[in-house]
Order: sequence, then C-alpha cells, then structure tokens
Amino acid sequence: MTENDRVVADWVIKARLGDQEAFAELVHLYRDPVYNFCYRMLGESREAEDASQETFLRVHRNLHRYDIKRSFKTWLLSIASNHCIDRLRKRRLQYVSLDDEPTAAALALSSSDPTPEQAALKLEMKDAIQKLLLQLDEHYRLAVIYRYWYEYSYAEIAQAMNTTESAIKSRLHRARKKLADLLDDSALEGIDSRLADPGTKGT
Amino acid sequence: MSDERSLPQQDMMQEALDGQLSEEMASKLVDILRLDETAAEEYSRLQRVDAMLRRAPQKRAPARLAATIMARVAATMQAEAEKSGLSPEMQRVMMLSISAAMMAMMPMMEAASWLVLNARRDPELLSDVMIETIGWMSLVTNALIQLLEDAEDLARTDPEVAAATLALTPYMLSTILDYLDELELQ
Repeated sequence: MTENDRVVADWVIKARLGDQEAFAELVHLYRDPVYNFCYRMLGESREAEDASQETFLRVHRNLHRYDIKRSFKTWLLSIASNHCIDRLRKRRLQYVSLDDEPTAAALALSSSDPTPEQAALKLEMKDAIQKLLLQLDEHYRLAVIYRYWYEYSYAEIAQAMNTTESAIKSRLHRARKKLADLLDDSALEGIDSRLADPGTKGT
Repeated sequence: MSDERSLPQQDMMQEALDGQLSEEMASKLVDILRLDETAAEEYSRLQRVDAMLRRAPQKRAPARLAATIMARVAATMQAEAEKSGLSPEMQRVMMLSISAAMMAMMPMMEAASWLVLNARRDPELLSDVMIETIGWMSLVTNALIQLLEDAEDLARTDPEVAAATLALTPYMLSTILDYLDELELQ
C-alpha cells in the first residue's frame, strides 16, 4: 500500500464515521477523474456533471460496502461506470442518432499560433474525438477510457469490468480498429498531430 | 482488411501499442510488418488512433462540482438525521409507550392462546379461531405502527402532543378490544 493509498484509506474510514471534511477530501481528489470518466462515457458536459454528483452520492451512501484492501479509485470508477451505463440505457429509449459527424474541413485546419478563432476550432477538434468515441459500443468505449485516460493494465481493466484479460484485449483491438475506420471514413487523417494538448492528461 | 489477420498477429500489434510486447516478439513483429504491406498499413492505422487517444485531454470538472456534491451530501445527512434523530427524552417516551402497548396486548394474547388451546380438538373451530386471532393481531399491529409514526412526526414539531398521543396507546388498544367484544356479542 502506497502512502497515497494510506491517506485515502484514512479519509474513507473517517468519512464512514460521518466526517464530512474527510469525504470532501475524497471529492477534491477524485472529482476530475470521475468527471472526465462520465464525460467520456456520456459525451455531454451537463450530463457528466449530474452523473459525477450522483456517483459521489452513491459512494457516500455505500462507503460501508467498500473493501479497504481494494483500490478506492477503481471502486469509485466502477460506480461511475455502472451509473453511466444506466444513463446510456435510459437514453437509448429516446435516442436520436448523431448525424453530425466530424467534418474534415474543421479538422484539417492548422492550429499553430492560436487566435481566438483557431482556439474555437481546436475545441471542435476535441469534440471530434468525443464524437468518435461515442460511436463505439459502450463496453468498448469503457475499455478505451480505462486504458487511455486512466492507464489501467489489461488485468486492472478486466477487474474493473468484471471480465477476462483476453476479452479486454479483444475489445481494445476492435475499438481501435473501429476508430481507425471512422477516421478514414471522416477523412480525418492528421487529426492526431493537431489534437494534441500534452500535459493535461492524468491526475 | 485486418479481419483476416491471424489472432497472434493482432495480439502482437495490440501488445506493441500497449508497450507490453517482449523484445523478441517486437522484432518478430517488425519482420512481419517489413514483409507484409497490408499488415504494415493496418498497424500504421492503429498507431494513429493510439497516438490520437494518448494525447486526448483529461476533462476537468467544473469549479462548482465539489461544492455542489458536498451541499447534496450535507442535505442528505441532515435529512437522515431528522428522520431518526429524536431527542433522548422522546426516545424514552417512545420506549415507555411501546412497553405500555405490549402490556396492553398481554390480555389479548392470553385470550388468543386460551381460544387456541380450547379449539384444538375441533379442526374447523381451530381454523376459525386462528383466522380471527391473526385478524386481531394484524389490526392492532397496524394501528400501533400508525400511531408510532404519527408520534415520531409530531415529536419534531410538538413533543408534548406526541407524548400525549403515545399515552393514548393503551386506551386505544382497550377500545379495539371493546369493539371486538361488541362484534362478538352481536
């Protein structure tokens, strides 16, 4: 157990006893990872915010069920993931297909020396990644999110998603292939070199 | 095009992208890619996706998120405390009232036992007695639960009225018994 894990475990124990300040520490530490997770799963800022709130409320209600020997972050993200999947299922009932695929024109523009207009275009390109991500099946998307935004190993993703490592490998492979096809279809070659926003990932 | 790739080759590409391919296997993959143009093209497409995802930013939560969550947690905790947080005095009154209710129920329990014992030899009578006894018990229990819930609600706004309500419990039970007696006589 790392020092960081010990601090988190201490906050969890205090929060279980009703210490709101300890729970606030947990919220401060994990709000970005949870929000990013919900945003990547749901694709809308407002819904991601609601889902993040709901995730933390569920965490607070179920703190007594958390096994202190497991990773708190993994447990937290699994609650976020279950909640997002529930939302996606409800949404599917009233689903309107996304026909606004990323356009090559918006994505092909250079972003060096950003002016306000270019900054806005860069924002559109970031949304383009999200739009591509949203075209993946939710279980493939989940695997991609765990792998790329949380740098989980196959084993960790398998544990979080309650499946096998080979299933995760297969999902990641199919997801990457589908994204490659989507990139080709949208004539998005070159997006990788212009979407870069290094240093902002990770918590 | 890649669907025809053999599974080991797919796995090798996958593990190479995730930095999990051994040195030996990595050089094997390089050989494959050098010789197989289609595989090389597929790997290049996958690499492009990999690079794009690696550089995708982490979305930051809005500044208000933590405060909103904590406000909702506090509201939930307060609601829970209000639900169960009766003062120690009221808790004692409630306990006394429940004890009084249990004592008031004793004669009824005794009567029910007596009826059951006497009806043992007649299956038809026993069945009727059992049904009637269960009906009484259910009626009395429901009335008690309702009374206690009302008293709990009242205790938060008007503790004296709540205590008075609870004090009526034995009287309420004896009224129910009188009513049942009257039904029997009719």
